[in-house]
Amino acid sequence: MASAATERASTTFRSSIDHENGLVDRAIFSDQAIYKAELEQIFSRAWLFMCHESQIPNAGDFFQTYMGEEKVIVVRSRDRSVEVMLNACRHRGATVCRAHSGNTPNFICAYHGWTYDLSGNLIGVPGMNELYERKLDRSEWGLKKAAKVSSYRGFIFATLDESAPSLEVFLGNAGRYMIDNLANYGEIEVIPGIIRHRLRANWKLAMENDQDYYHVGITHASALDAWGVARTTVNKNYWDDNVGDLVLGEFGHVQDTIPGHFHANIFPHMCIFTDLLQAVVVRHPKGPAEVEQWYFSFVDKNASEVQKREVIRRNISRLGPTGMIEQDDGENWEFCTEGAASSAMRDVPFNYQMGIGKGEMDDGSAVGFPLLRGGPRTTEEYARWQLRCWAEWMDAESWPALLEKHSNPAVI
Amino acid sequence: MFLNAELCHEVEQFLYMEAALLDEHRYTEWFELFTEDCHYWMPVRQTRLARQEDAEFSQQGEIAFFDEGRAELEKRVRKLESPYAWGQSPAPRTRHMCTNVRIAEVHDDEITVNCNFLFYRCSLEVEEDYFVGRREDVLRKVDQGFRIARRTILLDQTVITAKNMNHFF
Ligand code: FES
Ligand SMILES: [Fe+2]
Repeated sequence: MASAATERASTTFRSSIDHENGLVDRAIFSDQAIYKAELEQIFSRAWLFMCHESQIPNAGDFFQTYMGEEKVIVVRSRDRSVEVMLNACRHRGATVCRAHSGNTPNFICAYHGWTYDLSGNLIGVPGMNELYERKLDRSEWGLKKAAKVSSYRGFIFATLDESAPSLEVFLGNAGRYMIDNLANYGEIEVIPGIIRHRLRANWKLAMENDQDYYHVGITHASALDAWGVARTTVNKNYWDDNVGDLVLGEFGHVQDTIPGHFHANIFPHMCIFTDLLQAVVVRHPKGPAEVEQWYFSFVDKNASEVQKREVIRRNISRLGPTGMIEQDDGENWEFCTEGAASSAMRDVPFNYQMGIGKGEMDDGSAVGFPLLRGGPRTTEEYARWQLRCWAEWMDAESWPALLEKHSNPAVI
Repeated sequence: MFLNAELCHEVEQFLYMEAALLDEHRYTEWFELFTEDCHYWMPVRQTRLARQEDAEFSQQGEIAFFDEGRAELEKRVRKLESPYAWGQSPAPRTRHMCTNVRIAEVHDDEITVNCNFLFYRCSLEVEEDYFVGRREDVLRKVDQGFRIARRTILLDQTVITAKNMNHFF
């Protein structure tokens, strides 16, 4: 039986997001058909952050990650180039790499033994003479690769879509600025210890929380209490002294400009924390109601031991399932995800009305990208913009169509 | 190494008493069991290839789930006891179990104890989490029994499947 949401899904996603009035169809956070469409329209198209160059310095180093739900291996090959390959044997699809990361001379499928080199070439087929009579053309059966791989300041990205524009175009000046904020700490590298954590929440609810300054004083009250920060002080900072510039990037990238709280999102699934923290969070979707969050912490190679220690201490105290801040976020997203699945309230939208119409769009000739200036920094405009862009990804029939039709923040 | 049964018994009883404090939410009393110079550490684990298991865990000084001295531990206790600790409202039912207790080393007043643990947490209606792993504790003998000088928690999961880990192990 097709739900109302599924029927809407087959028409237009733009109608699920009322940017002007701040109303959002709750089905986008719970509907299975919409989720399947997201995997096709967003995760199979967008440039996705894979890992940082510092994680795979030597030939044979690999890091396993996902593109949507697709398992991929990011490998430093013999010629030092970076390959992103689907972690699925070309014979019958079995996984060829079973570790999160490591070093290997090749990838051997444990089912029938097809063996691939670091560039994904099929170099070994048991029974090539006896069983295949040398008729199998190995050059046709290498591991499938991502369509494009590129890196910006050490951050490796890949896309599954041949027709995707360059990484530079996808990021735009705004997206590059967001990465620069982290890359500018120096010669940065990932500190060993990548935290992986699953939540029963829709990935977009995690995404939109990164710039949600409304919840801080409430959700995180016990952490603030433990640290001796009065809630009134927190709310004063976010509410009374509440003017800021918002970066609204093309394709849904957003960032706030609150000093001490640079929280950026490269759409769809890379969150960058800078200033107070030095971290990247990646959110792999696992279904409409499940997400796996990965936390990468970064430090300048040349920082003093004391500085490194301080960065690590700050990240550990706040991030991940044990972080005193993030301990309390996940449960909320899980409850919201449950609420999004309500059939009794199927036609009752979520409220995204905070700060509508506030601030002036500045074309950004001074900084190189548009800014929403002079409005509140505690606002739902970040999320309204992300979801408006989400709908454009979902409605576009191809990358060229998205390029042509997507909203330009400078003229909204 | 000669181990007397009485010491083994005392150590086990101490670990059971400590677990009971956690399950009864008596966090301040639990915290008092730690020495001034204590270190409470849970490194991050990842899945590695065979023969690369020595690189499973993050090292001291790298990223960890917990890397706490007494001051950091105390903040976590204060957080759990805050009236705004939504995760404790209502408090989950928890059960800390430790088994396979083995004394690995006795050195002056310090005793190194290994055990396996199973920590069960049942929240709200039907939310259940199991945390399983191995612990290495260094206990220090004091007049009234023992104090915990070091605790290393080695979880068996490489991907955490609980919504958070806001409790102690
Ligand atoms: S599935 Fe990999 S060799 Fe058969
Ligand atoms: Fe939060």
